Amino acid sequence: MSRDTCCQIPSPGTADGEPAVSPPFSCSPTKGIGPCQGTVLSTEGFTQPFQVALAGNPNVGKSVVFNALTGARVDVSNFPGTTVGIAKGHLVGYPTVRLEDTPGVFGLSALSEEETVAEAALTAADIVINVVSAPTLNRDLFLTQQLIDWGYRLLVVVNQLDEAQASGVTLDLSALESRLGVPVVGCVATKNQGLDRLIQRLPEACTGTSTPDLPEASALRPMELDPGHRLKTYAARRYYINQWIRQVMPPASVGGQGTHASLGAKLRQGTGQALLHPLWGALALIVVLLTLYQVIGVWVAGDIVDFLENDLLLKTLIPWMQQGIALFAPVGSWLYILLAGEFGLATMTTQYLLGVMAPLVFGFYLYLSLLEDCGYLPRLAVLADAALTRVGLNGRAIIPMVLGLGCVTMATISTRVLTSQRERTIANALLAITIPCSAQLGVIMGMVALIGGLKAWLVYMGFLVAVFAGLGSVLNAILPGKSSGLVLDLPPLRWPQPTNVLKKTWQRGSGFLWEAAPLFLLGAAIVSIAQLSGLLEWVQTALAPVTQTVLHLPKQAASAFLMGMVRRDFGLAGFYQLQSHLTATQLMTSMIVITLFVPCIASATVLWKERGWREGAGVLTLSWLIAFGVGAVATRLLEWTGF
Amino acid sequence: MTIETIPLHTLCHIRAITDPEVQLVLLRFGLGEGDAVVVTARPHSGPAVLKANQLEVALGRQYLRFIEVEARSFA
Repeated sequence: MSRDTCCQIPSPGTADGEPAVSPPFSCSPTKGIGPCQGTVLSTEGFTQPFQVALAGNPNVGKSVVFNALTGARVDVSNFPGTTVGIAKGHLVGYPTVRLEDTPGVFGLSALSEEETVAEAALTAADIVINVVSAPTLNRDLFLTQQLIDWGYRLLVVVNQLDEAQASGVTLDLSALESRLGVPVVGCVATKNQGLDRLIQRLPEACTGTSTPDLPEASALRPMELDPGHRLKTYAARRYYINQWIRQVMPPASVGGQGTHASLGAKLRQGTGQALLHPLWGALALIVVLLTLYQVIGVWVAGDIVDFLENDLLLKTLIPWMQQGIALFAPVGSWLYILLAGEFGLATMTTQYLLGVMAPLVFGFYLYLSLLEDCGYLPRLAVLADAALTRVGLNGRAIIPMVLGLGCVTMATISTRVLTSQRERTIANALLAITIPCSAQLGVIMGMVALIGGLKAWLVYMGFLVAVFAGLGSVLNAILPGKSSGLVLDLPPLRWPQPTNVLKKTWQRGSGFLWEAAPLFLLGAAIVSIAQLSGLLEWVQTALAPVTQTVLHLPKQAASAFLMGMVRRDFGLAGFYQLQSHLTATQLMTSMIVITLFVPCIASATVLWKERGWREGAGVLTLSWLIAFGVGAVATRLLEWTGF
Repeated sequence: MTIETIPLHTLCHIRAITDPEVQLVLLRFGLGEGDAVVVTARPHSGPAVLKANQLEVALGRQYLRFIEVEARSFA
């Protein structure tokens, strides 16, 4: 590969236009700058089972490469920390080659859970594909060099070459290959360019040129895991990279883009700066929230749900279902009540899951995917840092919180991106108790539209923010230790990629339906059986002191709480059904209480798995106390103010 | 002068990093003593956003006082 062509974007399929070539490297047992070292895996290796792990800094496109190589659908977003576990697959066309996608890390010194997880996967692999980002190559090479120093057999993929070009950054990949002593391949993974070349050169992966003056890999590893020693080796590695990096990439202007940045790149940089400005950033956030309300609360919850639920389901499909069920179960019989009664398994599940939840959840995920893909969330993290520091977190926690607005279960897993156990305890408690998921938000927005629109929305949000701040402050005060500060790289803003956005929306939305449908059926069955057996009446009477005296709600509200123990959105659906019997104050109280109520079964299970039974039980108990305590205060406050 | 107090958009060089933990973090981002950086944003009571080598990094307020810099010019 010539120096002139090595930094250009390869064309699809043929990488840089060159025909398939045999490995150009010779095996050399000696160390030093130059050709690849170590034993080269022969192309026959593809017939033997072997394991490949993808490693790299956060947000360099590892998951895009993984998806392209395996045909899998791992979540891809424009923010660091999208991958928190290990994704597994096989190289397309080569079932013997197993691939693992590891979480993005800046180094391998077990400074976080992600680093421990990544290191374990890399140690088990025969070959490591190190994905680096062309625009931030200087930073990414620290991990590359560490992987070489630790003795991994490596192939380096320089991704996002198009972004580097747009920013006016040119790279000399052959110089990089010569310096590292391992094969280097350029690619634009999102456009599927250069990946064929990657597969061709995979057998060439080998150990590279180590940092001079550092010990051998076996001695270096324990040294870098020791906080007392790692600073010295880190500094030596950085110094070594700095000595030759300018041969690979020319110096860029520090404050801005490269000298030949395109107009689009300059515009994106300007927009990125504006989003970090206290005034413009706050205005942008208000626009994002108002747009969310307009799209989900008005168009989806209003127009689309109205059409689907009322015109399509209640007037057409559900009467047909009831008639069909009546053919084998007489109206009024226990089977008819179970399947098509007030809480009927067939009718109520269809009505709420397809008529209400599905459009709201898909709508919300579409909006969230757009925000994720364009790179807005890390900038929101910067603006939110000061506020989140007061509740014992840092700006990085905004990402699980925003993901929680989609699905709390998924967000609970994503709290692994937080550095300390203390932060994870606080974040999980706040997520489980104060963050409504997309299904809940959808129903809430529909109910809000019934009782006063934007004013009701602000009242509801005001209570949630107050509980969030209060609970977070208390936990921050009573939990031992101190939380870490924000360290976050900000990816460049990008136009959302329609295919990625739509695929992700579909994947998450359909995932929700698969997860929720059995739980909805279970909830409907429990309530219907309780109704048939008279247990529901007994529960309603037993809970009357709470529902009627404490919360000033009718005693039928107990049914909704019972349903809410399966899924909170299911409980809300119960209140949605009772709406004609409730005043505006009662509807607002019920929305607040059920939001703060126990997390759904799936979230609770993940919480117990991630944080242990003690913390899980603590959060559940706390959620009951807070839900009914805040509900009691809210209802009196709303009555007093004449809401 | 530290990153906490230097005016925004001033091109500066890192003179010293006085805390080992901060030094470690910055080394992994490709930054160390002698490197040129620009602070592009610093929301009230919030983090500072440093720009260097095509990279933007947000660093929490508690780390800023450990990064001593020397001003060169406006970027």
